[in-house]
Amino acid sequence: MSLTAETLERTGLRGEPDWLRDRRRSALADYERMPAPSKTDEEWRRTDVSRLKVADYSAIEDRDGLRLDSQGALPAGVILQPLREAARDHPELVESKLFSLVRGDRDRFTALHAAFFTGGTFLYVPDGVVVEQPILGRTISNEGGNFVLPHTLIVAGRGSRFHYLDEYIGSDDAKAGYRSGSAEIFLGEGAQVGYVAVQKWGRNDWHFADQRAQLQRDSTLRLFGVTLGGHFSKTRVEASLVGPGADAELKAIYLASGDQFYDFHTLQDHQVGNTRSDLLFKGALQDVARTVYAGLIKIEKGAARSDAYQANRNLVLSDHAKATSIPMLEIDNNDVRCTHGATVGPLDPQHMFYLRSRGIPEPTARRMLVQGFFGDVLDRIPFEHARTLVEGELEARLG
Amino acid sequence: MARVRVASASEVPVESVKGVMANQTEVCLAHAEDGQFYAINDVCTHENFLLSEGELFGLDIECPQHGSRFNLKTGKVTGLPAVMPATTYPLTLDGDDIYIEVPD
Amino acid sequence: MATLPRVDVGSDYKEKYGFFVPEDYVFKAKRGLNPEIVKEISWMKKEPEWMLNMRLRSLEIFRKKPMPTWGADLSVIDFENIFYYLRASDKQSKTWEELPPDIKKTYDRLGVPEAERKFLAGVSAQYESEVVYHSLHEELSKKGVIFTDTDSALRDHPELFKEYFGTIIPPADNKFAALNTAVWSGGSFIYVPKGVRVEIPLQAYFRINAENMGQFERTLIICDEGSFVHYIEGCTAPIYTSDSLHSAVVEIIVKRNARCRYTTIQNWSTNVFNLVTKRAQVFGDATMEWVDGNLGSQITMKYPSVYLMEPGAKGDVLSVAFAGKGQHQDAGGKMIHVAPNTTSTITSKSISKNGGRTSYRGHIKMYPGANNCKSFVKCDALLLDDESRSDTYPYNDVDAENVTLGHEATVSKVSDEQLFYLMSRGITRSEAETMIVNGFIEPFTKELPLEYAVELNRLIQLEMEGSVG
Repeated sequence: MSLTAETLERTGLRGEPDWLRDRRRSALADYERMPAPSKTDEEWRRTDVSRLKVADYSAIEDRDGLRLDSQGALPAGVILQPLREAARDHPELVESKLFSLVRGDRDRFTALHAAFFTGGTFLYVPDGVVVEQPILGRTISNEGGNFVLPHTLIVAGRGSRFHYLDEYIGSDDAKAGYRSGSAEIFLGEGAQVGYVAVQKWGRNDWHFADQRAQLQRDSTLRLFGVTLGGHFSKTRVEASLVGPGADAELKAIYLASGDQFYDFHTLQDHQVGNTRSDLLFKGALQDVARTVYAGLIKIEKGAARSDAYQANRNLVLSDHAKATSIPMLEIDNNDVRCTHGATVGPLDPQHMFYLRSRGIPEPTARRMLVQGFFGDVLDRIPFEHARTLVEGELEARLG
Repeated sequence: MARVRVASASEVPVESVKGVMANQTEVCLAHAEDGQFYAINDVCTHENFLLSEGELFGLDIECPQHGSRFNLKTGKVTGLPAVMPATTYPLTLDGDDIYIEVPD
Repeated sequence: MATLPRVDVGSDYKEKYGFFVPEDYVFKAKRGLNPEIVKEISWMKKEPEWMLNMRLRSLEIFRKKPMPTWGADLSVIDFENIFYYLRASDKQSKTWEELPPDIKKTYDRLGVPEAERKFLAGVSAQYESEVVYHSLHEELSKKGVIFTDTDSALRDHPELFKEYFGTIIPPADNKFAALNTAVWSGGSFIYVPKGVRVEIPLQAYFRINAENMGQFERTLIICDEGSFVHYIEGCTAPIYTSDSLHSAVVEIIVKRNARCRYTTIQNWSTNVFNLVTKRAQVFGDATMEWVDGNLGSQITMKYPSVYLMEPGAKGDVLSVAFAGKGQHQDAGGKMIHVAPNTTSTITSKSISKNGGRTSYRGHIKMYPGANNCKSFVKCDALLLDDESRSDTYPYNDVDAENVTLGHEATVSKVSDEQLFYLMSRGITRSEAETMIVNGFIEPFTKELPLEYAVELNRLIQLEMEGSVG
């Protein structure tokens, strides 16, 4: 099977409204029009996709294994539905928002995602509504050789408050597949949203994801990303602060082992003043794993009294693992506070010595130090359910 | 290692270079001013441009893109910005046929 | 060719810097760039054939290379409307007394005679495209130190010259290195023999002074094993009315256990495009220090780099950039770790005001096998008003094992608390800002010889005057 209009007609479009079918067709046209990323393009210089043969994975899973769990009854007016159903049932809420933040025409991979997305979640929380229990979305696929392209669309009404978890689960034993797991999050005035994405696709998978949020006045986003799976994983995490008082906290951890390759691309886009963003990406690398982090703080003209922080810390646990870190700033206003930092380095030998000298065996000492390294950022996971999940995963993987 | 015929000597006039494929290896053949033939890996160790598109300066080959130079005999860098040496391959002339030894 | 709105380099230039010297040239080449001009330059200089051939080949490379697609906007440069060679006087002056009076007058304003007295070791001052005054202290000569202009070095030390020239920065390295190699003129040549320490900084003043005049000096410094030298270049330039291009190439070789420090205070007038390639190759346990201050020019693109070739090599870049109205300082540094156990630091301080833009652009590369290396980059930017801009682009490529790499940057404004504190003690706002800026760049200033530190503070004061009050 190949990625043609025919495939699209046969699989993706069934039962979808006209506007969405048109959107998919137009994204496919973008996909066909756009060239593959070039090694001379700064974003792709260190991220090699030349061995990806997209057509190998073009069997499209009709169902993407989505399970939604709201842990009890949802307050009135809240909509939680598979995205394709919501497109049919609530076009007035979905049509104007879908792929307006994560645009299909950005590159070949976003185009592919927008053309063939296989489902995902739509969550709408009306103005003033508070959902106490976290809402859990799990996308599970244990097969290889296919596309699984879920998309999450979250619309948070004014003053709403809730937590959402996206968990992507695959099998390490399955053949390679092509995966995405993108999210668009719209925060209305004063909304408070906790969003956690845990990527645990199989170790052979290709993974491309775009998580992008737009924050209106006085809204607060606490986003936490966890990357553990995939042979190749590229994740963009972007926040546009468009209303004064908006506050985005973007935190992530990653653990790369074997020959895993992770790429993170972040943007803190302060379009207006009196906004705040705080980014911390922390990762540990083992074996021959490689990671690339490239992040940008952009303070636009007039965005006075903005406060932006960006840090990327890499703990390199093996001689052969490699971490690249590129933190960038573009500051067009003087009345700001901007700081960024990046570090790449091994475990502190003095810390190791201290623990060893107290009779702690090396593997245990190592695990303690890695857990200590992640400790401060784990505290920022916005809700208990996700925190337990992530701590459990780390525990299991650090052994 | 395998011995592979890559070109005939007449295809590489003196003070010229020619890019050839030997098994999976891209090789730059050079016929230097000393009359000798040399074989050096064609991919510049700086940013992967092809040396066979560059020029010879005595016993050095110069990369066309950024001007890095490599000694044809040893593969050593003789001019920045490249810093890592290039691989050279044993070459024999059998009549008009150029043979080189490259990895399988 | 696009035209750029003319930058006002100052109807007030004379008051600001206190001098402006009319043109008086013995030889003036035609505008434009072609093989004939290049041949003429080489013929005028009575160069050997290899240099002529290298120039002609470089011209071809220059023609073929595209303009850089990153960094500052260079599309306004009109290469056909530039003088590629000028000579201010027919032959070189041997002593200070013999210098043409108008040149002396300019130097007086800059305090050169002062420096001359203080630094008996030697002054190599470039006026226009050639070194016109040059003196070398006898003792240095006796120790075997060569300090001369680059043209003389090609003539007098042909073998040493040919061994190194263009091996650190080949013409094909980038478009402007090719241009420089095609039309270079002047610059300094320094050779410090094994074990010789030159305790007094060697310095040269560079000037450009003709409308549409290019300046393409070429500097080559060789520090033999265990030697030490500190070279200082500094420049201020009088008024012009059209764009001017300064494109220098500086190549430095620092052999085992040697140390070289290269200090620059760049203050071209704000219509100059300053596009400079500076690179040092450093061997075992040797140290290279670039101390680089950029105050003037309309656009600067300059990233002094250090290739750390053998264990124990060390590289430092200390960079200060000041961008006022219409200026874009795109500066930084590159550290290329080739060998294990090499270390590097880059410290960048930038100040933007009145809509100026500063960009830090850096590259740390650690090749496979360059294990146990350490590199630390620190960038601080000060924005003096809300029209100004600052960017940070640190590129890192690490292919080595067990390395430590750190990068930190902050962007801030002059804090109201600091200003209030100073102003409450009767200091004017402008003075207070100047004090804060001088404090901000103090890590740089304290590395300069006293005369330069004083001059730099004076220049900062001139730049700060009339800032938002």
